[in-house]
Amino acid sequence: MSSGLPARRPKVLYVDDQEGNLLVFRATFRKHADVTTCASPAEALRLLEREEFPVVLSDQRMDEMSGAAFLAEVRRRRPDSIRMLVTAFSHLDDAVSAINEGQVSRYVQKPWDAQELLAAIRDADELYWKTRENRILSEKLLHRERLAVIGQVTSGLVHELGNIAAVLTLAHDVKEQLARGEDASEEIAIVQTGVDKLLVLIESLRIYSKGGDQLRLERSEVDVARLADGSLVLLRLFPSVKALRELVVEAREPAPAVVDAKKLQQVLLNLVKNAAEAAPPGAGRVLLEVGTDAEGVVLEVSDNGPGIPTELEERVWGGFYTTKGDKGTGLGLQMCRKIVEAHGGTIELGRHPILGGCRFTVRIPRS
Amino acid sequence: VKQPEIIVVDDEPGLLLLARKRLTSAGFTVIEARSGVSALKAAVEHPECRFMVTDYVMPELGGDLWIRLLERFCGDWTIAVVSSQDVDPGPFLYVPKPVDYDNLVAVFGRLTRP
Repeated sequence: MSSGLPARRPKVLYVDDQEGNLLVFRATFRKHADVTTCASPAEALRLLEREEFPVVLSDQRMDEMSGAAFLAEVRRRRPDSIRMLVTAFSHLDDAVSAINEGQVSRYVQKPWDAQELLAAIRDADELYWKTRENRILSEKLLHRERLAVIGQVTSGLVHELGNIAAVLTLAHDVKEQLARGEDASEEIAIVQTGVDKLLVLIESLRIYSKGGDQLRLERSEVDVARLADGSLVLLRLFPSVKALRELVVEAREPAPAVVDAKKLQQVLLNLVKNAAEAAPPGAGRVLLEVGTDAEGVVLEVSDNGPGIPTELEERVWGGFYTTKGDKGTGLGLQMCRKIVEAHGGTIELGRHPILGGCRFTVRIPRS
Repeated sequence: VKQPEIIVVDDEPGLLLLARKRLTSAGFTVIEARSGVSALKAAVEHPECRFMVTDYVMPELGGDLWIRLLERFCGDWTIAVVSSQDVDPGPFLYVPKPVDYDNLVAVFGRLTRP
């Protein structure tokens, strides 16, 4: 290594159903790497449940399953691991299709050269640690952004809880009125709405607060229209959103997609909150539209604020661009883009033809 | 003795009911309004009314603009501005949420006694 630091011993898993090949591999690389070998892909998958290997190599031709199929399975379980396929020249087609389908990052041709393969393993190990470091940094940013948002919600939450607490004091009236033989149905109904509101509030906060710091997606079948509708309670906790003259949600048709609901809700909250902050005080209008097109779900958030000057449009995605002084971290939109792109989608900034302010368009493929 | 009228403004039906009950038992005739606009309408329809309890954060008309309108049209009224946050109540009385109605009624009494 040119840095002069002692080289890290790469941790490698090698899978091949020919015991002889495993033996040669171990003997060759034992000195330079932390080598684990396994003669059965199924057994290797069980091993991967317990342990992560930065580099996973597999032979292509195995009786139990092909190397490409095995590595595709590895990708599903350990997406960070760097996967390499070992294959003879006559089976190059397999390797090429495995690379094209994203199952492996490279292939090694048999018979391999020890020096070349060691270099490749070291590169893969390096890539693994770099990618990991990057992901941890991004997750830290995501966490900070979420904390900043939660900070803003706090005052709205105090307000909302105060209202509910006040309404619940009517329970005392109910008791007294009933004791006097008077009707208390109105009070009971109002107390019930207070309890219902509390439950909805808890539910939406629960969705938002748990486990949103990982960039890795937890996808499930979600109706994005319902998700948008359900986010209204949470949105109204933001003072800027509550102060809007109008928050219109157009989400009539179901908009199903396989997405990470928590992450997508975060995008939605961020966009609506930004829009509400950009809208003119006392006359703010924000439009949230959810629909579908041929590819999937389209989510649009528009406001009647001043818009963003064309020459600054690119800067909003860079992070640290804020119009909110020290209130915002300017990371919101960057995180939105990260989340949307992790879903294979796009996010664009435009202008709403009637409202005149910004229009953010998010497109997420159906699955 | 005619009971004094008071306009209560809140977009939350539950809070309106609570205010109506507490203020009625304190001897007020309560006029309910669900928004700033209907509060202004009520103020015109009840020219003798000089009391108001109003929420600060409301969806349509609220916040600083609402306070400025009240200052313009109801400047000589006794008005309690209710909020869970620290807000600028202009020339009016700031009352933290949730409202302690016993205390509020006592303060109204002190403010209006000649």
